[in-house]
Amino acid sequence: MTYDVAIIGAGIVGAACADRLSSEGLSVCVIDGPSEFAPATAAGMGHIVVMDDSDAQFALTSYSQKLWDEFASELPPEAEFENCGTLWIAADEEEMEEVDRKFWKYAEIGLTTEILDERSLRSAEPNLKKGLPGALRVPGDSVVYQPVATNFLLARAQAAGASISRNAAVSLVIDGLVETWGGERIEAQHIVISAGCGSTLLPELAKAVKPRKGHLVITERTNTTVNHQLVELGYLRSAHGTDRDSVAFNIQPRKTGQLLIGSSRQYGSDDPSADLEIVAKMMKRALEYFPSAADAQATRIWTGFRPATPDGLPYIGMVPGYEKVYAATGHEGLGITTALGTAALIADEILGRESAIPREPYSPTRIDG
Amino acid sequence: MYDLASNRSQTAWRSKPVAKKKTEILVIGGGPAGLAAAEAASSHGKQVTVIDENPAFGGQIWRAEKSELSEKAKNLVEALEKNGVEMIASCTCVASLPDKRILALSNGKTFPIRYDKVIIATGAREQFVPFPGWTLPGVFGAGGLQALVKGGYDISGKRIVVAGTGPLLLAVAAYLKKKGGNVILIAERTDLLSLIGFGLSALRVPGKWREALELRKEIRGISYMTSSSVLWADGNGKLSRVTITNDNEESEIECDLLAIGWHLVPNLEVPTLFGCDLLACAVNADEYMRTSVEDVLSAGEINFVGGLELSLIEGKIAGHSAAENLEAARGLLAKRSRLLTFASSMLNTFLTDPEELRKAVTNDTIVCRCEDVPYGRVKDLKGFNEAKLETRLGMGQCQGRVCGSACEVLFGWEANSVRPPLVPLKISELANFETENK
Repeated sequence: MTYDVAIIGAGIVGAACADRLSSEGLSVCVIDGPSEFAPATAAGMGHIVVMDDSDAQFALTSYSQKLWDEFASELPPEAEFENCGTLWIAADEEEMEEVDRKFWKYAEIGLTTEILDERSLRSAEPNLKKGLPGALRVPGDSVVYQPVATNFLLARAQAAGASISRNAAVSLVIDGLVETWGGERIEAQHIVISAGCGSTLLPELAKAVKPRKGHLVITERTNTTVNHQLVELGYLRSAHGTDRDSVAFNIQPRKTGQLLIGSSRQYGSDDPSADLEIVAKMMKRALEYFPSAADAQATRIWTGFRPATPDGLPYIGMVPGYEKVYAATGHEGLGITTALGTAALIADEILGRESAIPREPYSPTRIDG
Repeated sequence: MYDLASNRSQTAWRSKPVAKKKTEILVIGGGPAGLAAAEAASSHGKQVTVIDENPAFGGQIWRAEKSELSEKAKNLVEALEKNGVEMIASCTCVASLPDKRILALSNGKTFPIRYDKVIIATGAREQFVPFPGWTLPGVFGAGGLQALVKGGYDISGKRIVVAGTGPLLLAVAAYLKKKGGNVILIAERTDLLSLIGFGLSALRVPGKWREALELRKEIRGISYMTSSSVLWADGNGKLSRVTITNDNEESEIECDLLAIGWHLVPNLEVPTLFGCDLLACAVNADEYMRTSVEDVLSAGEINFVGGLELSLIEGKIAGHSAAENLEAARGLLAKRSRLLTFASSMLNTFLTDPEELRKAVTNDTIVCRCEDVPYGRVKDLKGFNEAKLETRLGMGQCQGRVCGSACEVLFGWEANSVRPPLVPLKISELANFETENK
């Protein structure tokens, strides 16, 4: 049979596309490789966050955040969706100016945030280092346990008629046809490539999507109170730099009382083993902001690869040179946040509709520009 | 589709080469196999260091009474120290570092140890098979209860049921009885005919039947049932009775303690950190105890759970082999092969059908006790990793050491997903790594 849509990659982006497209009545086939779970989705932090590095990023993340809020009530409790908000923490007075800028920027699109001074920051997060000048509180941000959310999206797609083919590593994509290494041929009108770093199976994307390694550390259950996802404002600098290894303070409270501590960014490594020196830098940075974590016991360290693009924006939309082959990849560290928005844009493009936000900034036509 | 993360192991730890401590042959694990390996390696003039995570050497089988070293272990340890072998107790390997180093943890502090060759002899642990009520206080692993009693836990007058399978049950029952426990029943899963068959084969191995006779004497007076197993345990906040089946008849027995002994399973965390090839849930080593990784050897129960004598001989072979004296190792190969044959026949006798074990489990039975994950939540999932991601099973304090082997039995999943650090490390200690190495 010929499917309406074949989706390559069953991470959270592919799962969201499958859910969206099958709910629109299209026949969908999801194809994924031999690993049990999409590696980038599994390794991520599950932070749903509005980011304003660029207007296009701002538009996509805020649109997606709204979609998550609507979706939240349908999620099972095991998905641990929690609207805890984000605190962007300033280290000094100079960064307080950035807090101010962000406040007005968010206000422009009607997103309410709150500027915390030293005292209100202290009462909001008593375990942070004393003497930090303040923070921006973004109350609309959330955290989610993304493996459960992903499986939920896939299961719902399946219930709506989607077929899911695992253990099928894709060897070739041409217009209307996906071929696997096992020799299976899947015909489809539209083909969506949402395979994270593995999206490079399309030579056009291989040029542009590069793995960016990250580390995360999780602790045992602690009694240390953390009320928000805490991120240093310097994170933006870390996330912007492309050539140097960088670390930034980022801590997420889990419902279990565990602390999930990040983050690191490294280019040019395809080695999945944990780099102890980077981990040491991450932990030092974390303790500078959050000294109460010193005695927490780290139980696990893992790494993952974010699919990064040169301009920090994902590729969403038809790939030039193909007939109805679409990219939905290159989300870097924002794949969880923007999965639902990405799926909406892909569905709109396939069905020839207008979208809630302009699609043009994410178009893969900018590759090679 | 290519999959970056699963292509290579996540288990090695990267960092720049700096050494704090150095040895020619590092032995990880100071049980019988590790001590025998250290003895053999040092006999060739090699500089040897043995680390063990317990406060005393000797492993599980030579576990000391009230932290006194057992006689056999004591003699061996003394001889080793006289030979200049460095013995570091309470020291755990938490990660494998590049450039032939491990990251060791002792007294809350980490430090690297550099080696030329490493012999892994981390032994085996008890397998737990979940059944309703197994998490109640009062329910123990048979070896675990024995270890507690050795550590001073008073069982005098306590009514004890010993259940499960294998010769370990008899040894544990005898020990508990000697220590004043009121052992009221030994319930052996295996049927009588298989046991007789095994008994006959044991006669072919000198010494084994004498051991068995000794044991019989010691457990005289305790009722012994075959084809019998525990269906569930219950009690209000702690164990007060077990329901057992014997040839399909159920009966309730009031008791204070239940000691359950299934098989032992190899402690594969360390060899997995090193990236050693595994085969059938054990390290895949050649007859000279060399693993698939250069300069990494393995000895004892991580290769095959076959008891004390096999561990000792494998330790010796590994020690000679690590000291590059294959001639000395070769003389021991025939004896090892005989012991291995016997151990395999024992394993076959006491092999338990997973279908049988699953029968006892209900949807509410906890599989992962660290994260409170019941059987019903994982039974339809596809594998250990999916279960971990979906339910956090195996991601708690014990890092899947208990539920991993339980899932292997219940679902046939390969539950090997080791990540550094092997034991929890303080965040402040992780942060210090950099400075310590400069």
